[in-house]
Amino acid sequence: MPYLLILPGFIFYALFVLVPIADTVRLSFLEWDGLSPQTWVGLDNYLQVLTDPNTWTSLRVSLVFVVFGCVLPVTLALLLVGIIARTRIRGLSFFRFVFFLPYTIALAVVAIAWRWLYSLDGSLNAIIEAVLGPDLVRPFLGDAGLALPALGVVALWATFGFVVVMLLSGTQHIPKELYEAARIDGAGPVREFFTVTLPGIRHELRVSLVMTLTLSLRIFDLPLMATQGGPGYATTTPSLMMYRDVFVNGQIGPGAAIAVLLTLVIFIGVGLVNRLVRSE
Amino acid sequence: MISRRSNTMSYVVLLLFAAFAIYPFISTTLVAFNPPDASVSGLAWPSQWSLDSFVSAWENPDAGIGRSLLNSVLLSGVVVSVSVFFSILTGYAFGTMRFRGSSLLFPLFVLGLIVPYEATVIPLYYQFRAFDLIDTYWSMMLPCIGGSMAFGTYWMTSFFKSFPRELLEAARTDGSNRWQTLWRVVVPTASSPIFALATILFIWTWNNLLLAVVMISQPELRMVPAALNFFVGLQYGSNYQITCAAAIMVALPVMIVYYLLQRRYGADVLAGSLKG
Repeated sequence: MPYLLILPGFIFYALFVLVPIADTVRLSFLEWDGLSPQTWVGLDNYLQVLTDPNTWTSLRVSLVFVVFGCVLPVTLALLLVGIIARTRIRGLSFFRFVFFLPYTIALAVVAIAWRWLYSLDGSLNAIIEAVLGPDLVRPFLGDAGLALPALGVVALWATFGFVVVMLLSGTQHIPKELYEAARIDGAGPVREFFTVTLPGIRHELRVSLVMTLTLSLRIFDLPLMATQGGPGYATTTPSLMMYRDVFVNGQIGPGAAIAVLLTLVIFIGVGLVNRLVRSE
Repeated sequence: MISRRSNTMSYVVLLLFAAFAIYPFISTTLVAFNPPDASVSGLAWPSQWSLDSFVSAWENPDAGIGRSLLNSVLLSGVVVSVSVFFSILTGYAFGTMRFRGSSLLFPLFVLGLIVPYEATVIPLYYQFRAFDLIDTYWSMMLPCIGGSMAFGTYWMTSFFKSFPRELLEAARTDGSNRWQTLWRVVVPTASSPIFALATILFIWTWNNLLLAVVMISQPELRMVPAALNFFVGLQYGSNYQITCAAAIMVALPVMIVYYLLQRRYGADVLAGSLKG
């Protein structure tokens, strides 16, 4: 009986996730353009990818996205939760709705909204001009130095609310007596946060770190739609490189090698998070 | 004691973050309500409010927003119903039964939670091409269902694990078998987690750009994110109004679904029931 129940789901999972992963690994050892016969080239694709400076640039871009899309939102959300966990907030469900809204929107839509904000005659530059003067007006996404942090802020915007909602739902399981006990012990807000709130939401913290880390490392929609990876390679992520290699240039082997390496990086990252933040 | 000052500070911080979250929505909406031939700049407060940008985004025959909305509704509908149905079955098995191999199979499913589509899309594309399925709904539906199984299984299993044993036992002594117990006793009480799962899978399927640009090139079969990509490819610096109007039309269905869900179950149902 249990096997029958699992069977349909497992067939789909195996055929369209497990088998393709194995196949990606196989393709990464081949030279193939999608049409002519495949030739085994061993580690050549990996060698080619790892000696290509653009690969290392894209890894650096990825790490910047990890800072903006994972580290910063989690830090800010912890701060926010620390501030409001000890008070009763009216209208909290309204704030939760607003915070979570960006996460529900397709990154493709997000990219369009922010392209407008960041454009030379867009609203952000209008505000900057009004407050700080015309010298600081910039085409954010067209500037080689600013494009990446500018997209990073978008990633922060997109993931922050998700983390807040996750962590807030964690605080709701913390017994109120713990806070009272901490206060009787004379704990200030900071000690209260580290002794009561943080241990209480460890599980939610771990889940949000894993989810935002994965999203940041594999981010594709945002750079494709907002900057096409440019200017130059300034915002080209590994996913975008893989997409171009395989589906634009017909370089399947190197593209598959990037996909394998990216998956490995994600697995290692998630492993680190799980070591860092133990649930129990 | 909680001072009034720290309470005020909480609200100030909350409002600041809320403004940050909402600002791009307002800005995009303002731009879209400008007529397509107006020159927009700055905050783009429309001097005359007009729906013309929505109309021309909708009527652009090459973008086919209307058709792509239909495609996406169809795709998400099929993917969500099939995935949720299969996830109920796998979750029921992993959550309420002990069987040989479950301690191996379950982690195998959970592993899929962090496998990106990037790791599977290349062979999927060439396999589907070999079967002549590129540019068909199948090339989107099948991988999306497969990709949903990891999360669906994980989600439903954690629900079934917390389901009271006594109720299952009671149903069994009443003479119903496991299949009947599932549909008559368990599922009717599980509407909240099932609905939440459906919403999350709907958001993910609706928003999937990578598969949509790889698997589909025919305009008539395009999904909404890919249709948006068309607008972005068209304009460079000009005509933000139409692009923003198109973006709003694409985002609105998801926002409505999310709004209805949180009205019914509270905003943290999406994130709050994540366990494990």
